[in-house]
Amino acid sequence: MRFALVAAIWLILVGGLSLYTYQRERRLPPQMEAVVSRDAPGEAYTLEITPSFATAADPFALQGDPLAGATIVVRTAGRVLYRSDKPQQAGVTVSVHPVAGLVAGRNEIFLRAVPPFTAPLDHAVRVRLLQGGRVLLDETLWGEKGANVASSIPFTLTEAGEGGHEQH
Amino acid sequence: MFRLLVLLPLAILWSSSALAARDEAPRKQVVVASTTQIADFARQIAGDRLTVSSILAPGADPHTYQPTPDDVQIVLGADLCLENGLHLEGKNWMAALARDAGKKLVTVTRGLPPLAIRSSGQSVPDPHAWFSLTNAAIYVNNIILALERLDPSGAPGYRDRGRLYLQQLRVLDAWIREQVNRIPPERRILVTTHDAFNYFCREYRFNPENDYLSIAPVGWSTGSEVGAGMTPERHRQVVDSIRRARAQAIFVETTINPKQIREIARETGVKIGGELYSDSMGTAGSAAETYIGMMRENVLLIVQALQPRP
Repeated sequence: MRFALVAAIWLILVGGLSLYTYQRERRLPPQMEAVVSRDAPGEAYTLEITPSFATAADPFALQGDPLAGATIVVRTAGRVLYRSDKPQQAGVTVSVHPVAGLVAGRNEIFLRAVPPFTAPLDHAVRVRLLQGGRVLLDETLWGEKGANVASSIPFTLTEAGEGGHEQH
Repeated sequence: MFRLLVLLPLAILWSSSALAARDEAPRKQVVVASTTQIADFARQIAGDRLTVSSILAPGADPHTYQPTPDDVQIVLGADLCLENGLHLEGKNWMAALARDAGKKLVTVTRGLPPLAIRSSGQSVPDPHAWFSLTNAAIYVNNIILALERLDPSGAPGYRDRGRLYLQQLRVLDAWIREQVNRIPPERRILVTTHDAFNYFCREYRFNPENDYLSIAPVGWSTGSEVGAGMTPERHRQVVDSIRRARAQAIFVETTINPKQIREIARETGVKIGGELYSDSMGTAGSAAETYIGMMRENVLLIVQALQPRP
């Protein structure tokens, strides 16, 4: 009788634990299947970057960082589209062509531009993405005085290569 | 027997989970800094991956500090020691502690351009370099490098935290410039107890009559080094400067006896603007318990005392 009781308790304990583990795994969010994105032809696009300020080296950069010396850097999906280690003049547009790394579907461009750290005014960078002569994206990124302009712009490109800006 | 059969598996389950938890949490490496500011920089970079402590308690004076037997024990348990250097730690007490314990010591001011103070015909490097935010960035970069060498597998985290913290310092610098701009240039007279604010004055354009350097009755150190301490000549120079520049207020410091500044305030009829954090940050739980908090509170106090009344 006692043996049966102990066996029953063991069964309840082990069974309960298994049931709990099973239920917990079921509640986990399903693993997303990787979405295969098709590359958009980079030659079709031009990226224009126009800072409202003269860019400068950042004395607050992390030393040894591969991008520490960059005064402007543009990335998409971790890939550097453009970098400049030289000071850029205020109001002068930098054109990047082709724009490699864009895909049909969701994209995001990250831009960081470094103003002089003693800059007395807020500042901005205008970013435009063009396909031929057509403007797909026209965004102005702002930074408070002294701070870097650092922001990302999400947008989608259709299979046909047309773009649309995603609102936050 | 019945109870044993029921309790035994539960005990095994509990002890195995406790052992597993112990396996997941290996001993954290220990970093010991000489001052509260350096400890805060290290904490911002290390996160919870390392244990960071400071030899000096908030409010302690690094120039005159005498290490205790407890400090020896703390350094013996360290994997890495950090010091300011430039003789901030009077008689190089942190270097001596690390050397005696056989521990690696990193000087976090390495590579920064120190301001030279002329005193008694000699040139002395000013150790209070953290009062310039660009110098603070050099402290942080040196600490990141030291932590990477100590714990290479934690390097990505140190670099990511460091990158964020450096940008916070950049924003703090811009904020200080905006705040200080509320004080008209002719009222930017900063008089403190000892010469800790040279870098601050140079960076934010205080004390133009003194070549944008500190005005203080006590030299760069409260100890007995060259150019340190208070002399009757320094006292007279400070009183003259206050009268000539029509200083609006003078400031005491948290780590130093306020007696001299109070005497000068009585002598010149100038009010005391408050207590500034200089060689040490504030106590835990205070607004100045971090470096950023300490700089913020100092600036707010200075601006409040020196800006024109509406």
